[in-house]
Amino acid sequence: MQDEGLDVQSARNADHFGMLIHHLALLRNKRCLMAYVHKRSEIIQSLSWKLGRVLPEEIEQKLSDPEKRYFKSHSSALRLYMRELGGLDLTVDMVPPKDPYIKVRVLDDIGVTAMGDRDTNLARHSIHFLKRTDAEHYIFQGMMEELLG
Amino acid sequence: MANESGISMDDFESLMATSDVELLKKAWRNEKSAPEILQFQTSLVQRSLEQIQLMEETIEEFSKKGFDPLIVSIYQMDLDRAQYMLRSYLRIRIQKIEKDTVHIAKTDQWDQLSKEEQNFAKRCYENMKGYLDESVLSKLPSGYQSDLKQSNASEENDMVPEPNSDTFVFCKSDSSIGAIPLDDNADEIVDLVADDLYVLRYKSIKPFVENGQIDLV
Repeated sequence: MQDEGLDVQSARNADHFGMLIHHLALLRNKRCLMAYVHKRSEIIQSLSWKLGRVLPEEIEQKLSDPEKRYFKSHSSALRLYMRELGGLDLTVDMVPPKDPYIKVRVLDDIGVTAMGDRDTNLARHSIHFLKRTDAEHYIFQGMMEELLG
Repeated sequence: MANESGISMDDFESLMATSDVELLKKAWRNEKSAPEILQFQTSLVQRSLEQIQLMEETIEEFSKKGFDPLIVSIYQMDLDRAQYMLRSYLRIRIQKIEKDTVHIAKTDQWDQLSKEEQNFAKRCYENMKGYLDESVLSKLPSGYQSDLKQSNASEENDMVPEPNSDTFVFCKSDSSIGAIPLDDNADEIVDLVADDLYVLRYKSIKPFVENGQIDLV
């Protein structure tokens, strides 16, 4: 009677533990995969903050197809939110403003542009002292850089 | 942004302490330091947006009328700072939503979001789920495909990242609150004195942050 009981129990145990190990291995692998994919998704989220809707080619090559789709849908979700706020752009003003005027170096030939009430010649490599709000979108497009210090 | 003239310094200070700029600063600081998302300041944000608009118009008018450029630029600086604070406030919240979308959606924190934020969170979750499904989940055996649970055998959502409410925060209080228990058993208590700076676990002061008695710095 007792032997039989033991028999049944040990028989069940073999299957039971086999299954358990399979189950735990699956869970472990799932967690590893998810952690990896989730980490990448966080990086993609931060990219959609910094780069807007278009990815530079050197980054795009490194992404898988679902990741590219995720980047597109995420940055459009962000833009939609900003539109719902009434057009408040949250991607500018990433650092607290110190001064309404900043010193910039022009990186590209922009030419003569109206800055405030006078025209300024924004020639390449020239250095200007501009209103931050005027310079900001040039900096954003990479046509100017801010000179610090 | 309050610029009435002819009031005494004391009046001015007490007025400043309750002005929208101060309130926004407080909300912004709290949001910045808290590990989880706090109640959205609907009316405050609305008022700030209106005031910023008003300021923009005023500055435009000033520069048209040919006021001293220095005065205009000081006003501009004030406006820039207010705008930065508002943007930063909204941005921090959105980034928290990005990070803990599922956790926020499944708990009572959902009600602390503004309507626009809820829309954003919904879209965010759909995108994230689609992406996870495509990359990993659809390739797992059935019963393991949930994005919320490790497997069907799990009773609760154990795949959801949560903000760490055990983290330490710097905090300060305007008034003496008295003894606060630092853990569930109230083995350790701390006496909060007004205007002293403390470093405490967020979890233990959470209710006080929510009702505004303690400010995070």
